[in-house]
Amino acid sequence: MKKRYILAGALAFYLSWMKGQPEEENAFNVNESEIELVYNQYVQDGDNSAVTGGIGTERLTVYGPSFRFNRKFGSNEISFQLGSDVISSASTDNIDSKISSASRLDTRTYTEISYGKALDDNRLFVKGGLSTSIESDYFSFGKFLGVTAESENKMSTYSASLQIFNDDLRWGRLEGGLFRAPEFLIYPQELRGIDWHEEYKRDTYNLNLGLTRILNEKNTVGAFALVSLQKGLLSTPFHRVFLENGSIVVEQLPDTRLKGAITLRWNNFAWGNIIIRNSINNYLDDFGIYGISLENETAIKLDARWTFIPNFRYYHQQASKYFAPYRQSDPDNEFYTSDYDLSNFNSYSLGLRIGHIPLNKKSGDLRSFTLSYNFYGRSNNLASHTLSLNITVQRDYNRRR
Amino acid sequence: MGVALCLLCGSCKSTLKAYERIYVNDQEMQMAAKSAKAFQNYVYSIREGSSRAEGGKGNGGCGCN
Repeated sequence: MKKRYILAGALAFYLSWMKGQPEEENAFNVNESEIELVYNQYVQDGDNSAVTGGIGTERLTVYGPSFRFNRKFGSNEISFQLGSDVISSASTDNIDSKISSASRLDTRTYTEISYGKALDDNRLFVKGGLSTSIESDYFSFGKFLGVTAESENKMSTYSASLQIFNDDLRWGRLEGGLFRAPEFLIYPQELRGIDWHEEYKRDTYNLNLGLTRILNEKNTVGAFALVSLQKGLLSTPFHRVFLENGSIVVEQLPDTRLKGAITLRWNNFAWGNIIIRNSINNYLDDFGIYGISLENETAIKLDARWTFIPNFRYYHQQASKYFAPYRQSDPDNEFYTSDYDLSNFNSYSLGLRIGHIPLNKKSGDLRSFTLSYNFYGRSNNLASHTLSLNITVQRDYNRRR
Repeated sequence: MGVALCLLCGSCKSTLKAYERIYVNDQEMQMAAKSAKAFQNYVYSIREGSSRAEGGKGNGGCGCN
């Protein structure tokens, strides 16, 4: 009997000693790497190409592989991404009259590197990074800095980030040798010889704010806001506009644009294996564009390995005050565009994502793969298909000791 | 809106214990953007005149056709 009391007392003392260990010893014990391989295939077609003044084919195919490496060690996180979009575009071939092939090839290569640090017992996370993007007629250099804070009761998170993009729209970097000095803005062939735009740079400043809140065991909500200011050349130099009087000009848009957007989200763990995610996004800018989107994703967990996620999105857009269809732009206006991306339309998107998490030991470091398909249709006759494959490989170095 | 959501969801709690977080900690319940959706969000940003909050512009490029 006495031995039982001594044993119980020793056990109780040991357990209370374990509970008293400071949590900081376990907070930064992460030591893992993650690699994500992605391939996207995008095919679209339509009848309102901005290159040919709002008429003509918008047929385009994008082959888009990318690679992302993420390394977490202690309270630090480093991320690197490299990707390339090979674009085959029928309408881009109509910039000049030399239609040498069915469509013209262009390549957009992009990269991003970032560093993040967890502070204050993992409740504060600061992240900063740089990005670049280059194609034959566009170069972009981006910087961003962001912070995310978690409340003491771990029920709320607050985030803020600033992104700055400094872009150059001149053509020539990838012609005749890599990283050649850019030369000039590229206009439609018949409109060359005139300096339609003096400015060739475009700067974008994005301020993103976010708030998430866990309401109860099965419901989380979020509110996000964006304020964006763009300055510089906001027109696309090789977009044609056919005016009412029959003349052809280059697209003209103001040199500043102020945008605002608010997104509200609600995630609900509805039943034992179904999670419903809803969001609504409102947008307004001083080009006169108003947009509202409603989106739903329903994650259906068939079992621990397979998840099916059907998704649906509806979007309504009110046109920019500068937009007019082919041959309807007033020559007395200072600004005009026939880019149907800025027109009145409704769009809907239907998709399915299938996610798989291999749980057997034979899969090694393979963490997950996702296959997704999405159809996008616009009321002004543009339609597209997207097929994506994501493979994630993860290695936890702590488990391998 | 918070009050309305609380009524809709049944109840709001000021805190959750660790064992009560099994559902909100699920990967599919996270608010962070899913990487599998990144390209589709990029398509929306270049094929529509609007932008969305939660990330803004991505890696640059006009994405024009």
